[in-house]
Amino acid sequence: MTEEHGLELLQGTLDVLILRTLQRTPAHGYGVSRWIRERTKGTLAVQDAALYKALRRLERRGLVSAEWGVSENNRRARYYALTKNGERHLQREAAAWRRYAEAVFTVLDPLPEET
Amino acid sequence: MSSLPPDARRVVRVGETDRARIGADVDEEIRFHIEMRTQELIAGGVSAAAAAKQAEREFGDVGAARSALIADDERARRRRSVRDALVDLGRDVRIAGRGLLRARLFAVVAVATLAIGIGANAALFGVVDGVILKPLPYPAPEQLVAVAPDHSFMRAEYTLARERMTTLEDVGGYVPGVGVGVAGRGDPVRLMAARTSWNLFDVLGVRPALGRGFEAAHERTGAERVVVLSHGLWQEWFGGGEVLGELLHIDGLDHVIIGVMPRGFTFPQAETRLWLPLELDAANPGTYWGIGGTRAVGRLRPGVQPEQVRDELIALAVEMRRANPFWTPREPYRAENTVVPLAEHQTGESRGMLLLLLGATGFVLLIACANVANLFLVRTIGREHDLAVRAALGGGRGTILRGVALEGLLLALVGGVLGVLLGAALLRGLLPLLPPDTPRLDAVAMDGRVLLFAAAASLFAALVFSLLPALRLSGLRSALTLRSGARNAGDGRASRRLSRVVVAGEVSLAVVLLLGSTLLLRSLLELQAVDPGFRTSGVVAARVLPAERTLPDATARLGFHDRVLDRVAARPGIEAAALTGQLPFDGELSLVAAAVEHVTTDPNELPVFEYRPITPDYFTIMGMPLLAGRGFDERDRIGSEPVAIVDEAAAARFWPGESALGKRIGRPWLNEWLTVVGVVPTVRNNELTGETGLAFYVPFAQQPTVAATLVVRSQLPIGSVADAMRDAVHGTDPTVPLGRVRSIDALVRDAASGPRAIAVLLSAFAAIALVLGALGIYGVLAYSVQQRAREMGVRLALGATTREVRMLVLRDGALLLAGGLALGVPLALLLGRLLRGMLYGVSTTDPVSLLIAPAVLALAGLAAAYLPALRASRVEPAVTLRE
Repeated sequence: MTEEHGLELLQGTLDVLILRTLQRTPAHGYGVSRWIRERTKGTLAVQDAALYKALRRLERRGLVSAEWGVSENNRRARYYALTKNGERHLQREAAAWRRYAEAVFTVLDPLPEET
Repeated sequence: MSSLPPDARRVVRVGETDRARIGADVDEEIRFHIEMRTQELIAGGVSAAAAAKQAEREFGDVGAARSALIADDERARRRRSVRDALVDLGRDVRIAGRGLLRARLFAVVAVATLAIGIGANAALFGVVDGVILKPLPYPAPEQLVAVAPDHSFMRAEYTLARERMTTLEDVGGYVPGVGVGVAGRGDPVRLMAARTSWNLFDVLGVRPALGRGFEAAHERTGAERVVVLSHGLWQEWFGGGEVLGELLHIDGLDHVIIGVMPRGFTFPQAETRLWLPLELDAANPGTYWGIGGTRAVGRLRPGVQPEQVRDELIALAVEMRRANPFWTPREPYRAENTVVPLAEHQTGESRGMLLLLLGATGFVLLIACANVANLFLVRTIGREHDLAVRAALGGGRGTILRGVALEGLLLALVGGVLGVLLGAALLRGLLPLLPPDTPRLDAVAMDGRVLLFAAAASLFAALVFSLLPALRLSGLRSALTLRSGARNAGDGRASRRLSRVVVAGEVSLAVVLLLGSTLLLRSLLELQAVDPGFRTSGVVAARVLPAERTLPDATARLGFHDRVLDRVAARPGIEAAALTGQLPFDGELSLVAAAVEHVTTDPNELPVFEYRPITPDYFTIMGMPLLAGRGFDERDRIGSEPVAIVDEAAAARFWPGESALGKRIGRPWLNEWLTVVGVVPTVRNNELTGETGLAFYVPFAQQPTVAATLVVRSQLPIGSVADAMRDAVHGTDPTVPLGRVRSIDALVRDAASGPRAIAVLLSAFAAIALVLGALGIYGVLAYSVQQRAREMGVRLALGATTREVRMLVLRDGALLLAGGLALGVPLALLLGRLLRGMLYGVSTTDPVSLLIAPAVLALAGLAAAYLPALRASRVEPAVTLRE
């Protein structure tokens, strides 16, 4: 499963991205996919099949709820929304990601004596 | 929470199967995604064909994703449907609970009724389970059988059976219920012992927890005296410490303690506290050939039929007759009763009694259920309007029925929990009421099995009383009920009829219990009125238990007992005192086989006598008049002519139409002949019912025993008499213990403890049934009066007197009662046959009981009907008419 563009996602990242996307507004799967692509300007490679599987996984864990509705162009579409649990989960995960990223940056950033 | 953004509309699809819908939905979701992406790419300037290809590539493996998503969704749907059901259930339970809380009186009465019914059943099942159902606590208990339990083996007969029988792997022998006086550890007491053959413990498969069991040598006459203790006695007297080799003073003789049985082992009776060897010695023919009363227990060889065991016993009997002239088989062996499973035999008489009582509590539960069902029915009818509205608003019949069933289950649950608590208390109260010889009472406990039973009973109850309202509701026609309005709840007539039938059924069950208890109570009265043949008031008795080594010969024994007797008689308030070897109704009998000169010297015909050495005043104290000849007196001493006094039964049997005086009975093998000098009335020995045996008395002065029973007549309170007796014994020899001091009255009363227990318990259950039945009648009539208040008002307004209106309701009640009685009395007569073996002096169709039981019920029923009748006659015509 190679992608000609973008970085491979670290494990668990996709879930956080989806939750962050749905935090804005409930959306159908395509909407989530497009938003992630646009936000990251195509840097992150999200395979759509994996995205949908992730949505099901989040639904099962009660972080996301799903309901059929009608889309902006009047078609039937499955809409996903963040649940209260999902909101809490996102906050925890986002904070963890930030700490993680900071730690990695601290190591990667040049030390004062190196400059 | 809606997952839809504000601009989306909700779409509801109906009509497809879930499975097909899930597939279609997943397809649609994927298609939507790819089409949207394609359009986006085209809008970005990609050609249509390339755009579609890129969109699909970006998506990944569509087929795999599709099946994965479908699988996920199906799993989710299953989870959801379970969760939904649970949520629905939770909601319905809450609704049912709230409904019950609103109808508090209804709920309280229903729960209390159920708790009584379930509690009584749980308690009794606890007893039945422990005594009857649980397997015996021995290895391979199913092989253990009581051998010819109706047959009392002569000791020689048992010994031969043990040596020869091949249909049984091994046969153990025992004499149950041997009362012994035990001294030497604190106050002397009287305990229940069993004499056992040396191999009995092996047959049962139980080893002593401490020390050893008996050996073959212990069965010899004059062998070392040994005893094995029960675990309980060991704990109680020795604190569970060193005990082997210690001496125990039993019936005046020192016994060496050689073993302790494991905890819980009480064979053959619950009260058995110690075991003594059974004397089985051919060198002592009087005992060996002359004394019966030995029971046999064996291990059946696999595949052996009862007939084979019987045939073998009969073959042995023939051999016995050849081998010994003094032996005669008294009862023929019966095939159907030769081999009885030991568990069944042990529970013997208790079995029928307990099953009967369990049946009675079953009736109580049924009556309780009927009452709750009626309450339920009334409640449902009261809510019919409300339910009809719900049905009209689209509440399915299933939902409403579920509501009713849930209310029932909730009631049963609460009633069951309370019932178990009540049952535990009842069980504790019940145990002391049971006859003390009820076997295996130690296995009785409020354990998991009882809880399971209580749960089953609760479920059964819920089923029964939810059924009626459910039946009623399934016929509910919402439109009609709605139209007819709440007050005159439409076809309530049919339900009223239904609840009447239920109440009549209750009444009929109550009649059965009442008649049963009336019969048993009357039988108990008859039993208590039985004349044992001697005076029972103002006579007190106790065992005097000297050690044999201190009284080596007849002269010493006589000297000791004479001194005790003189001291007691000299005390103020003691009217008379006497000694006897053994008292009736006080444990082991001394039975001897004896020849009657010129009548039954044929060794095959030797009768068995109850044998009693007594001092001269014994007959006076016991209120037994001399019917002929003389009593014993100073003349009858050691060395003078050996004499005897026979009872009336013996005189009538051996010398009919002539005087018994001067005739001789005796034991030729001991070269002993006794001349009959007097005749006294026959007395009962140990049992109030059944045939009385034969008895002869000898002068204590000629055949003194080591241990003897001191009998005293006095008007003093028993405590003072006991003091006088103790002082007399200890004044003579401070080391000699005195057994338990009891009034003869109490001894005789104990003989009726079994019938008393069953009569008392059944009466208690009948009383509960009576109250519940009356409550049922009250409930139905009260409700009916409430429903017909307007009619009553109209009647009163039109000139009916209050009396007439009262009679109207009472007649209604009488009708219910009559229906119940018409059903119940024949049923009671039918079931009364079960009591046949338990009744004494009363037939199962006793006319007095047949009159009393229904009369009591009718009175209670009419009393219950009177309150509603009173209310009906006090209806204010003006008020009801205005409403």
